[in-house]
Amino acid sequence: MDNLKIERTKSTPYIFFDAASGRLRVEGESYPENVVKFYTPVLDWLHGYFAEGADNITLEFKVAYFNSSTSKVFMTIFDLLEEYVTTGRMIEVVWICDRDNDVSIECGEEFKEEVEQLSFRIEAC
Amino acid sequence: MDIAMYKLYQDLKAKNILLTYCGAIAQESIEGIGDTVRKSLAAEEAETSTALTVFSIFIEQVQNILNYSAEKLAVRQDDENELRFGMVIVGRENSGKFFVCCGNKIFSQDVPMIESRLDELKKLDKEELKALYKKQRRSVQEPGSKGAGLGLIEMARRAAEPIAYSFEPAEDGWFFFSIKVVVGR
Repeated sequence: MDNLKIERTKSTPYIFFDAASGRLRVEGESYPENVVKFYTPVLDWLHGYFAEGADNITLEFKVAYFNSSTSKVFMTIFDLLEEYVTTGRMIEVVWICDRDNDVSIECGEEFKEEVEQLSFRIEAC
Repeated sequence: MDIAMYKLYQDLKAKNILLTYCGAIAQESIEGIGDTVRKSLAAEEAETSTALTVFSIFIEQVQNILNYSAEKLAVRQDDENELRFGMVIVGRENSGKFFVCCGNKIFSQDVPMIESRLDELKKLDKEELKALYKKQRRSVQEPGSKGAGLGLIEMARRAAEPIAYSFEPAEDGWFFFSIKVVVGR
């Protein structure tokens, strides 16, 4: 399976999903005009990756700011991961944020509250 | 138009307006003005969280103009590149709190829906708003809608005071919708 790499812009994050290692990273800010259009390839890649039997994944989110429609897409991603956790895969989400950024920490906590079996770790540094 | 702008400039300055934008809005303008908003807040020595909250309200408001303003200027055939008109103001109250105001034209038939949504939000406390936000985040997006329907709830959650809003009759059967969100320091 090919890696997924999308360069960062002012309103969309850098995306690097490394198929071989299972290390997936989303870094930057997210407030695109068309959220669905931007994230469709990202969701498609994840669906394809799981279909190929991927079983050990770490997904790192380092997103200092995201708008409300991005929040909905992130929820969709976490729901998808949760679905695959219940089929026995090892998946961990790491929510990385600035220690001084209460808003970002709170956003991470509110996602964590929404998942049950998915390992969701908040790393404030 | 009278070219003597000093009076307008003085009025805006006297009201502690950090930034005013009125006209056609595109995603690129949002990104550019957004940067300026952040720099202005840094110059005002706003806390990291305050600056991020003001910025996020600014983004939700201008993206609402981009998604919902009834007044548009189509520059190309495809919908994605159309420009929509509106105005946005970022300023500071005498109390030191920041505010973000936004105004744009809407269709008269949309007034009751927007008004009832805002009225409902006004009745909710922070915990209820959080619950509603989470519920809406998981709901299926309405067909044809550009947004996730979360923007107003997000603003209500971040606001330090109840959201102020009004609907004024405008020409050709339109209404002018104004909204103001105050952010704590």
